[in-house]
Amino acid sequence: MSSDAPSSSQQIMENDFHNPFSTRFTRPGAIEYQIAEAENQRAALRKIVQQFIAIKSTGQIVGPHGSGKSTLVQSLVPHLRAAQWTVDVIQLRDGQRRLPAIGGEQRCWDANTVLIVDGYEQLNRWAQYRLGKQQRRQGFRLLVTTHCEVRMRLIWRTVATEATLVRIVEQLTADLSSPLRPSQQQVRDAFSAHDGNLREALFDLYDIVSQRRKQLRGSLEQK
Amino acid sequence: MEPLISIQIQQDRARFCPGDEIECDYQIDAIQADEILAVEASVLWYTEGKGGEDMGVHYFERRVPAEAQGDLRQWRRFRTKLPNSPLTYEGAIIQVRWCIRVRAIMRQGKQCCFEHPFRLGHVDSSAT
Repeated sequence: MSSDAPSSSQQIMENDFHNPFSTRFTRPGAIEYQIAEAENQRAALRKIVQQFIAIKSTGQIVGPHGSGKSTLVQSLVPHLRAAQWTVDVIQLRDGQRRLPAIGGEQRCWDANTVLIVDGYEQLNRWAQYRLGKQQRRQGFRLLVTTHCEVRMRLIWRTVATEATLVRIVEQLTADLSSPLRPSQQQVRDAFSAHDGNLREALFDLYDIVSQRRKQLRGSLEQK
Repeated sequence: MEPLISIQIQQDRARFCPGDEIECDYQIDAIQADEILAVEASVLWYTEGKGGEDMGVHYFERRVPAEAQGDLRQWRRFRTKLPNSPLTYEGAIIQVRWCIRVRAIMRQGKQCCFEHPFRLGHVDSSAT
C-alpha cells in the first residue's frame, strides 16, 4: 500500500524544508568559528594553532556561554591534524566532575598528542590536578576551554559580537527563501535578548523561522 | 571541483508507507574513476530541531573499486523494505526526516555527500 504522490511542487518544497537554525547546522563543527577582524579565516585559525603549539605545554580558550569556544575547538582540530598532531577531544557536560574513563586511551597520549578538554571548569580540583600531573609526565599538549581563567597560558578569548551573529545568519540563510528569512531587526533583538549568547540567539531565530513557515503553510492551505 | 552525485527513486514519488519497498539508483559523475576510494549508500532517518540529534541507519552498503571493475561511478541500484517507524514528523521543536544518502570517499581524505529526502507514513503535523 502506498500513499499518493505530492500534488504540487509547493508540497515538495515543504517536504524538503530544513530550518537553517537547527542544531544540525549550528552545532560546533557544522559552522566554522568566525574571527571578526580576520579577512582570511583559515589563516587566522592556523595562527592560533601555531601560537598554541609554540608554548609546548598547556593553553586555555576562555569565553562566556555561547560565545563559540566549542566551535573554535572544532575549527582548530583539522588544522592540528593537518600539522600531524594526534588530536583527542573530550567534551564535558554539566556536572561532569571527572574525565570519563576511556579504556587505555589515556596511556596513548604522548608528545605527539594534543588533548582538548572542552568545558574544563566542570572538572573538580582533584581531577584538574591529576590531569595536569599526567600532562607533565606524558608530555602531551593540553588545550582547554573554560568560562573563567585558570592557570594556563591564554590562547584565545572568545567574544560574541552582533556582527558575528549577522555573519553567521547570512551564511545559514543563504539558500532560504526571503519570506522565511529573519529581518535584521530580529537578528539584533535575538542578540541583545541573550546578552551575546549566540547559541540562545540562534535558537530564537529557529523559532522565528518555524513560526513564519507555519504561517506560510497556513496561508497556502487557505488558498 | 566536487563530484556530482545523482540519486533517483525508481517509484518516482516522495511518499512511502511503512512496509513499502523503496528502490533507488545512484551515480557519481564529474570525477576520475581512480579518485574514488569507496562509495557508501544508506537509507536513514535523522532528527532535526533545537535539541540534541539522533539518527538511525535502516539500510547501508559500502562499495570499493574491486567490487565494480574499478569504476564506482556507474549507475548502481539497491532496494529495501521500509520499516514501521519512525514516521516522518514535522514538529515545532523536532522533525524526523528520512533520506537516501550517498557518500563518496575520495583520495586525500575528501568526502562528498548528497541526500535525497522522502517521507515515510503520514503523521498530521497541523497542531504543531
